[in-house]
Amino acid sequence: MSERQEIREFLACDNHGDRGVDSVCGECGTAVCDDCSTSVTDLTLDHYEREGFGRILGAVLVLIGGLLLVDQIPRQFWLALVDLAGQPLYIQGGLKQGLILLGIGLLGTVWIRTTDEGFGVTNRRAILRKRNARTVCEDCYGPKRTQRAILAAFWLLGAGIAVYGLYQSFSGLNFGPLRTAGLGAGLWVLRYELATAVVALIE
Amino acid sequence: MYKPEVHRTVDRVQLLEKLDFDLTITDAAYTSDHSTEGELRVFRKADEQAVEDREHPPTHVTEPIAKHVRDALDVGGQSSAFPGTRLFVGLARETPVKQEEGGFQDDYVTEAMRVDGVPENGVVEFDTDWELQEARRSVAEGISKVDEEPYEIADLPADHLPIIVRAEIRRDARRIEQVLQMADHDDMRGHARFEGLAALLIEVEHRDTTATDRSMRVDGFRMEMSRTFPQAEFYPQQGSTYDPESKRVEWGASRIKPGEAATFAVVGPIGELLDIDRIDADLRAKLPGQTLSGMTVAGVFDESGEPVDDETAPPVTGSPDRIDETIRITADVELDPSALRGEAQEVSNATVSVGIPPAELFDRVVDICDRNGIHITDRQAPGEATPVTGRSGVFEISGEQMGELDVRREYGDEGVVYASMEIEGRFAGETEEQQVSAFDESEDRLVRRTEGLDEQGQSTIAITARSASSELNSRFISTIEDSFGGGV
Repeated sequence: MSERQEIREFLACDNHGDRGVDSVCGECGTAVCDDCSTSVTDLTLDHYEREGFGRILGAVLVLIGGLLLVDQIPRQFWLALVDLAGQPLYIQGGLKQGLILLGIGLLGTVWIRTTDEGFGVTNRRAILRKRNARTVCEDCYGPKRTQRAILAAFWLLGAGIAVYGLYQSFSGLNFGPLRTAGLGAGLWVLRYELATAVVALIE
Repeated sequence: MYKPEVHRTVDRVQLLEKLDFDLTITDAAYTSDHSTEGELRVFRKADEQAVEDREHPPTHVTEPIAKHVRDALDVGGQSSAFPGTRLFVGLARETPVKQEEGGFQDDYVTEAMRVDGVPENGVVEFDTDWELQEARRSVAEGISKVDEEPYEIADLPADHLPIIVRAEIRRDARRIEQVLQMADHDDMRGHARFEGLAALLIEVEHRDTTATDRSMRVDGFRMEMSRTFPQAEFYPQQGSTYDPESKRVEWGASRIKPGEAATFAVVGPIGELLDIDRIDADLRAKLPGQTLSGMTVAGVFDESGEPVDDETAPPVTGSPDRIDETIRITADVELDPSALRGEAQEVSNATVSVGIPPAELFDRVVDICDRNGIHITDRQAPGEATPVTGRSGVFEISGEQMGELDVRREYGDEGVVYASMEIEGRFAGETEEQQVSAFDESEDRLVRRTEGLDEQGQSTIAITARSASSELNSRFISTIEDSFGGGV
């Protein structure tokens, strides 16, 4: 590097002319300084990590929990709970459906990559999609704001439904709406995938 | 930490500026030209992961269904930057400055040199995406792919060239020894061994144009002769390979320090040297870490807008930098040794003023050349005249439009004078003259028309003569001057 440093020149910010700018807009390439750029977590700037197995395992456990365990728990347990509350709780059905919805949501966040090894199902690997921060200039911030708004909308929708379901369940001591909470949690878990799909549709 | 594909696949970003230098010395021509161009280059190699990413791209678990939905809705695929193939190369330029002769400490003038095709301070974007087949081949055969962004370097001043190539014939043994001794220390015979011989010297000077003290790396120098002779010797002997069969001499790699020159020579009897009709020599050299235009690579960025970390390069000591700037020099020399006989070293200048319009003067000079046995090798008649601002009816021929003549005059054994003449000047337009006579021929109009102009025109010939001696030059200049009856 010593040879180069002698002649090294620095990029100047397009807007302010500051020398020594060390980043550009990741969309249009304009040289930007700290004052005229911002860093946003960008759904479309993605990479994948091999952590999908844990996610699948979690999703499967939740699904099994929903499908089997809820039914396997002795009837006396539920009856005891009803006795304790002094009124019907409808907890079994709500919990089962809620868990299944959450499990499906978790499964939906998994990405698959096929490999050359093996065949059939064995040559598939579960991976996770990760988002990254991108430095953008003022002009390119517009579409990113739309993207963030969509993401925020899904966040609020998922969390809102989940909280509403939980509130309904506990306030009335009627746990049927747990399925609503499960739906909300599933949506919340899936928010990135859903927002990405919407961004792909509108772009 | 975000590591898009460009971090792995791009191994080098280079700013390459090419300087082509041409020197032609034959009986018909004495020209020295150069051309320059630049190129921003990105070298990249695919890796296993890149192939994998294209062969088996990640798909969402719902992809089998999502595909049908997308097809049914007729919408595009997912919007994703994966695997991250966009690369931004930031360029910055410090306009070269020069200090005026005798100027004060801070009197710097920026050179008029321009760069077209890439921004002087800005970013060039490269898409380093691979086709699957291409990526496979790159991995299998280890081939790099090069993306290029060419640019022009316009108006590079001649005094900014990092190299000068000269050719001459020397017959003085002492002088030959002096020129060659730098390369040869081992021979103790001194100049005696050159007694009675002549040397054809091609001198490559690395001019000290920059503040750096980096040497020019000569990759090779090759000389091809139309004929050769048994007594031929080549200097520097070290590093040279002579192949009498193909009449070719090659010199290997060497270095030239700034301000110094390398001399390549053919030594032999003068008669034999002059009998060589033609010598073609070419030089290939590099000036690492420099650019002619002052452009540098200021940074390399990935799609996140952050710099591609230099630390991701394998830390091999002595490995080439991932970012570099280089000037690549090629010099082509075409020589007719007999044209060098006169060693066109002396240059004389003269200006002759004549009171006639430039176009007429041009014809007169052509006429003079014909009458005095001066051979015209190239001619360009004066072009279109432009009106002089503030002087109605007065026209001017100058600059691009001036008349030019390249001539050669042989003075027997004494040598040859090569000269170029540039003709420019002003003249009163005919239309104005007519208008004046048709209108009212009042005195002030007439005065305005001819003010500062003798008769109907005022022109100058600028003569540049070059030959072995200034005496020959002045003889040539006198021939022209005398033809105009001693000037004005």
